[in-house]
Amino acid sequence: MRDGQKLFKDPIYDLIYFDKVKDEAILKIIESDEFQRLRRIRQLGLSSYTYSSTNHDRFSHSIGVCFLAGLFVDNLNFETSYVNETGKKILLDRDETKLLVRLAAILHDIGHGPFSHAFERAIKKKAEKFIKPGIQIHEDYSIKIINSPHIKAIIENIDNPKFKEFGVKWITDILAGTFTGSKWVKEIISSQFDADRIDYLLRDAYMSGVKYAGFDWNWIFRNMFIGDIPIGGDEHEESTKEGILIDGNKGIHSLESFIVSRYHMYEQVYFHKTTRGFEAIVNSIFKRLNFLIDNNEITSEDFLGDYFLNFLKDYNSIPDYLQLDDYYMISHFNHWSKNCKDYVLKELCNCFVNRKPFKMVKVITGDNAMESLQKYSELKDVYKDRMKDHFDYFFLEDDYLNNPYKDNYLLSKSPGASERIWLDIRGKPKDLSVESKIINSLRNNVLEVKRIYVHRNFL
Amino acid sequence: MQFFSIAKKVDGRIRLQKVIYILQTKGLIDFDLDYKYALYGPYSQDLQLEIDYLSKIGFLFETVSNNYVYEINANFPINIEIDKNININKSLISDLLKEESQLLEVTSTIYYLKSYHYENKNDIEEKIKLLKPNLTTKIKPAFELYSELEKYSKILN
Repeated sequence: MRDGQKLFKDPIYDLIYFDKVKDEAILKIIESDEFQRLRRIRQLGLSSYTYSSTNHDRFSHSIGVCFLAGLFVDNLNFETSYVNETGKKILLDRDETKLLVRLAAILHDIGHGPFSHAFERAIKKKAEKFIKPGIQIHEDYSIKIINSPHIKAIIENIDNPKFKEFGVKWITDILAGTFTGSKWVKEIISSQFDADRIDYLLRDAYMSGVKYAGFDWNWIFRNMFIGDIPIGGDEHEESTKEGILIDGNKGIHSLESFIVSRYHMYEQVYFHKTTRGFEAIVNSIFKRLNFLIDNNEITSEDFLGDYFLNFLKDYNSIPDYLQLDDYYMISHFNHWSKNCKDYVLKELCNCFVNRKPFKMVKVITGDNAMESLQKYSELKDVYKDRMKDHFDYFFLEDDYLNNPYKDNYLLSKSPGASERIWLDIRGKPKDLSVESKIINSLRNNVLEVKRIYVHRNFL
Repeated sequence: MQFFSIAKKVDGRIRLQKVIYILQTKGLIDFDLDYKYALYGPYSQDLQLEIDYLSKIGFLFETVSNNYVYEINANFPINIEIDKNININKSLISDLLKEESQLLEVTSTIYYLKSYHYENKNDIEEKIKLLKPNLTTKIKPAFELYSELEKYSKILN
């Protein structure tokens, strides 16, 4: 092992390494309790109900994203990046830019809750009384955790005056999308071709065993550069900004593989009916929990420790939130599946813990939407009559828009200016979805819109 | 669907995005959309997907000239029940849709920055100057519009 390096073996990249001096802050973040918690949160939430090997965690994903973000910087052509602050323009050299991007990358998911996105969806309505509406909950918690004393101190103790003064602000701005510096810095963390997306596609495909979702990211990295891309239209004058382009002649086929991989993963893994069914059950569990709490039908004695109940009463409590992970949740569901006075909660937890999926009884697709909407109404009436008071918990709906793993680039017909992937074709920027017949044909395909699941006892 | 049953026609995607963002942030419309900050302010990909879908099934007509224009199909075969809460804000929706889209862009940016823990008015103003250097003339009217909007209290539980 080389002195001065910290190494992580990784199934996707083989070896990920950090310099113990240059990456000291990143390593301290990795060692923090806040980050170590991500070992206990699965990347794909409940996909293991369908693909039993998808037990990889947010910890390994975040380290992978940090690694890729560094490679992005290594492969881009620039002397300095910049950040605009009031009254001044601050220049960052290559090392400083790389550190900033990698810090944002390692912290980008630190606010995720148990079961990843399934939890978020389940608590969203209630949490919006405490969290401003419109923001993804895990992003709000990420910003709060980054600003918490421990993580903030790590960043402010970096031996660089720029990071001491602005480090926390720049990282949260990158994650919030309000970074006022070189645009491509933010694109490395969040764009249609970013470090986050590349890592989770490769990792999720590998762990689920989906063999046809691969692409040559290394080749794309070798052929990308910073250049001018067009912006404007949509009520703004057309202009350009600096962004990331990929050599169209050399990189187009690898990019096509990247998009096709996304398509396959979306269809096969992220939108799988069984997984989505279990996420709907988790949603229903939380709905019932909130009902019981509001009606004082469940007390602290029904919980294993205080953190979960405290959090459900105060979504702003970061210390309680940080105690929630997949294991803690599953322990509660397991406990309630056996020891709960409330029949609905007990049965829902039983279905979850012992893998008893609800039956999918109806699918509304993009093509037969109008006819299906009317049949859906009739179906609801039938089950309302059959289920009576249990309808709200045992008749579950999953809308494709609720799927946090949905691929907006594939589903959308008309992307906004910042959602495109840009090729350089003979010195001119061209939109990949226009230049590539394969990508053009894949897009705007909302195949299934809504699914209905019912508890098997009511079929 | 309910929003368009009130609005009937919206001229411009930026206007559409920002009006719905402001209404949702204020709790004046029961939408569940997630937003990120993009080039022209808070943007919801989910909203655009929903608009694309409504256009596909024929509920909306989409025309593209200088802007994207969305207009409700009066002959759509399914009747949409108007939620009583949206009905109450009918005039507000109509007034907001008349505002200049760049003003809406800056106003929604004020709301977005407040969501991300910028509390101080001066800090917000300075940040907007950095984010939108070509729209600094809209900052003062945007704060005025923001103050007007703050008079509308949250009516949804």
